[in-house]
Amino acid sequence: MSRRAALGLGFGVVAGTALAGCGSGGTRSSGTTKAAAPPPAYVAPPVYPGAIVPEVPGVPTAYPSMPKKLTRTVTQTPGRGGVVRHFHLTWGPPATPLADNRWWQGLNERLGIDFKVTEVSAGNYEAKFATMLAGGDLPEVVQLTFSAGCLKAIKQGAFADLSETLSGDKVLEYPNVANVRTEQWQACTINGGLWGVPIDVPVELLEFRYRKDWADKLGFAKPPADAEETAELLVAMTKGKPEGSKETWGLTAFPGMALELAYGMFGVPNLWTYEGGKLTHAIETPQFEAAIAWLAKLWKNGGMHPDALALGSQTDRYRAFVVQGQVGMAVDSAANFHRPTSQFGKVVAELDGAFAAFVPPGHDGSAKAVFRKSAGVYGINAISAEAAKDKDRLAEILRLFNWRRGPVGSEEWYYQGWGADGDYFTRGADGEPVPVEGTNLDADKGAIGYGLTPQSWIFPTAKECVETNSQMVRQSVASPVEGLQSDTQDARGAQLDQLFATYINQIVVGSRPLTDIEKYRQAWRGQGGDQIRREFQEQLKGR
Amino acid sequence: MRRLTHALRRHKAIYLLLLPGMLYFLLFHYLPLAGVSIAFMDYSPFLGLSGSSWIGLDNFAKLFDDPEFASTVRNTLVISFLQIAFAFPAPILLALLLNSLLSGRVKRMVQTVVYLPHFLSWVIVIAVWQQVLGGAGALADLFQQLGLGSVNVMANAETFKILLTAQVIWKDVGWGTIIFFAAIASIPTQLYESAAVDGAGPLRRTWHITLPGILPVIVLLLILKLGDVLSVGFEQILLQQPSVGAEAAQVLDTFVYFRGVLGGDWGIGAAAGLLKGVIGTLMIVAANRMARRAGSEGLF
Repeated sequence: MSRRAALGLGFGVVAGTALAGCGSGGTRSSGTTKAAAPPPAYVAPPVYPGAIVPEVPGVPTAYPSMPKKLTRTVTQTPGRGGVVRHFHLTWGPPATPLADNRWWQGLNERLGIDFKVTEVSAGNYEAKFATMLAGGDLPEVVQLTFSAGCLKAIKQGAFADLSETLSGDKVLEYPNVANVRTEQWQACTINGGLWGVPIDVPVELLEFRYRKDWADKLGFAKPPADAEETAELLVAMTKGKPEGSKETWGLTAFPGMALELAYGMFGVPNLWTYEGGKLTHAIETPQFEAAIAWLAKLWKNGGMHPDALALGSQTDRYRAFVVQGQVGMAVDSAANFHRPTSQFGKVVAELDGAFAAFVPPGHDGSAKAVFRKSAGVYGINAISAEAAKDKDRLAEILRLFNWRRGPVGSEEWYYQGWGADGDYFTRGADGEPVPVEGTNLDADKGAIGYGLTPQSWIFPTAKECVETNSQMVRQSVASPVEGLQSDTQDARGAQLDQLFATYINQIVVGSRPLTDIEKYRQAWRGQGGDQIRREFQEQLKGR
Repeated sequence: MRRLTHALRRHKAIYLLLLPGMLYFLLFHYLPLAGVSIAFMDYSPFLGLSGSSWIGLDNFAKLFDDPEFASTVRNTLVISFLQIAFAFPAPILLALLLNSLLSGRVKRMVQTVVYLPHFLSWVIVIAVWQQVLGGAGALADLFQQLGLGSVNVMANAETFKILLTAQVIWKDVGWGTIIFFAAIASIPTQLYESAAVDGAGPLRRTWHITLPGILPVIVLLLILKLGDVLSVGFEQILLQQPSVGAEAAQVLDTFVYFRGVLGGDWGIGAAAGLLKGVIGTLMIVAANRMARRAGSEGLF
């Protein structure tokens, strides 16, 4: 799974695996052609008492507890009673059928439509998307990723351009949609058109954690101060038997966590650097080489699970190692560590502070680590061009979006997260939802609710989460090609990622010498890298 | 023609029974053949077959220009050769071996056990192999305890193709015996009896009676297998690619997946698929002709 795929899981379910798999692909790019219409106006979402409002843009507003009073942001039923079909991404099993699904029934009632959904598993998305297009009859709402297939369909006019409809103050007609940040709108702008409402994710989704109890036992009283000490700690976590006879490892999956950590410590650029009118790709930098050398050495010294390469794509097994307490360091979405009910949140609670958050050090201990931030968009909720021909229909769909984008603390937002009071959760005296025995809202919801709800961090450790995340975002850089578009990148991305596996995976595990990095670079340039560089450079010069 | 109309008239009911089968082939195998035109188009699923533009042989040109194509074909052929040389005869050997078991109960039990892996999906098979031969598997543990250093058979690019073949054999050898068992069962037992009376030992009887008896089936299956020479499995290889890299593990089917499905270039994918189909057909025809020349009945 790519970093992009992992990013998509910010809401509800959470991924955690090959987060940084792509040596070449990566965050989204969009069009350069300046849209004639101004971008939609931005209105900050309402904030309720108790909120921890981060100073750093892109870090979600967090709440240590549920807002006591919910406000209603939409007064009129948005739908007109007909069927609205949706094509949604999912990472889990499909929703419970409508007949046995109180949440879905309630949603239909509130939205005033018959909500139909096709849930497409993320791993299967490309093929399903093409089949759907070939079928000719597009659902009204389609969640797009930034894959080659989606971009092609966008360019060929499959979806409605909303740049006029939502430009400037016109977006205020849908006040909750106006909470989308300008940079997020930009990420949904391709070829001068605005293709929908973004799937919201934090600009830096991840948080690093390590087993402080093991480190203490192994003689590392403080978090590691440089790359070398980090490697020593990871090796000790594998070989020092911190759990007695139980097998343990420093890191378990490559690329995933291992690459994310090494890239951060050695300051590998976010995809590209742009200097003096010339783009240099991350893999062409000495930082990249240093990061890979560090990983190869770490592997040789035994700091990683021997099956790390295979585990890189076996999410379930990799995650199970964390749950079983066999992993020294892990990276995952911040929310998954902090939400007490989530898979890793339970582990954190059980270990009672021993599974501590940390920000990796810079490689030499003096410079700080550099992370990579995105525009905070995982995908686009697009509207089919066919449906949008009818202005009333388009307005209806946008009203539905407005309802579903209900901000934190709104009744609409609460319904999507916890259902009607008493159905799945009952709000206690302090306002906290208490689960109703025998109900399973996640199973009922499936992917129906995915894609429009804004990011919300609501857990007791909200303050710590915001602090760590803010620090990481402060230390992060955006990609210089953010918002740009390369046809070659779209078409060859998958192929170039494969090159990464062929060369870099093998270098890390010692099957190829480190000097093969040069061969990798050459292959990368020859198979599209140089072409991608030219395409991006032209656009950068035109800016 | 006249004979056909005559036959049609005479055996109306029988020919009518053919209809559903023919309809099935027409609907699900012949009509979709029209999709082959994608190989000559800059195909877009949104624009459809009628809206996409024709680009002649450009897709094929792109295919042959692709820096990865040569190594992809090479990998495919090597794996295919290994499968024909080792995975194809394996069930024959096993069938002969099991056939020589005297106890019917043991035979049935062994058969059931060797069938089982066929029903496991590749994801599970590979996970099981990982547990045994992977870097943290049983074999690695054993090596460690014997002080022989570490070993990871699952992530060795050089031996990957052998590993693939071994996995195929492990998974499907039992299933493959079914058809050979049927062939063996059809050999008249008096042949064995008279051979035994003439003093032929078990090896001689296998060589001179069993093998010739099942030879037509072997030839038939081999011809069919040759038609599939460029299909060497998809899931099995895709799942293990990250461990060994594309250079060792890119085959035609995964190539089509990466270029066509993930890269959005359906034209190239279809071109590669068409090429595969054409070569497969040629192989079948050639193999059939050779088999007939060698005196066997062949397939058609």
